[in-house]
Amino acid sequence: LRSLFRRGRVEQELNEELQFHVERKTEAYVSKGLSPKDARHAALREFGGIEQAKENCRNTRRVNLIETLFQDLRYGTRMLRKNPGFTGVAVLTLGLGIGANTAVFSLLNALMLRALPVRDPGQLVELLHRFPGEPSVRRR
Amino acid sequence: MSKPTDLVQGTLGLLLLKILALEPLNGFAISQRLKQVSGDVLQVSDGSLYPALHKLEQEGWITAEWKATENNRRAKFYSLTRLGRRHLEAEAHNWKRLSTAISQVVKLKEA
Repeated sequence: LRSLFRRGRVEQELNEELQFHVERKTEAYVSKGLSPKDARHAALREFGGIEQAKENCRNTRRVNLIETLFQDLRYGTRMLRKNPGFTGVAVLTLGLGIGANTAVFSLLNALMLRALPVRDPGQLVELLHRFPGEPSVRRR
Repeated sequence: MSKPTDLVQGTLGLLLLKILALEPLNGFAISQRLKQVSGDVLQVSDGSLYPALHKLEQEGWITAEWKATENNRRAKFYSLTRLGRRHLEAEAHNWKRLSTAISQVVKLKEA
């Protein structure tokens, strides 16, 4: 948890830890007769990719997930800003889609799902008038 | 780095826990100690030692503390937690079982 709120501190400790290792190794090589410069090179070479090791250390901490999530979000907004055309089309499509759906639903909702806005809807009757000679319309 | 001594998957954690069970050490001392007690057979590359230590720390099996070395330099010392000790016992038991089984198979006489 510490690594999320005190990232600077954790990062610094990681640096110090690995630096300590390289320094001790350098000393070991110096005592074997290498020049300080060669010894340092040898120690660094033996370590392999220090940055890679650091990244692997960071990855063991789970907060890295949260961190990369924020990175992804930032990357996403950046990319959207870079392609205004694409962004416009996407927003328009989503807007129209959601808008049309809402409109259709609110209409249907009022027409078919809700009871009619009268006191006792069950009591409603339908009155029809038929002219003489008109063929009877079968209802239902 | 050392081809013939590539560690069996998952055993690095066991080795590190065992070494830390003896006494708290810093990363550099751990790699020296591992080399020394295994008669130069086992050697963990520097690049994988620290991620492994951080993993163990994350699991709560070891804790880290900044202390002065005998030469009065600040270093991060790792020590085993109670949880780590229990985990070490379980892992060591598993290892014994596995290694006896494997050596039994390897020892089989050919007809």
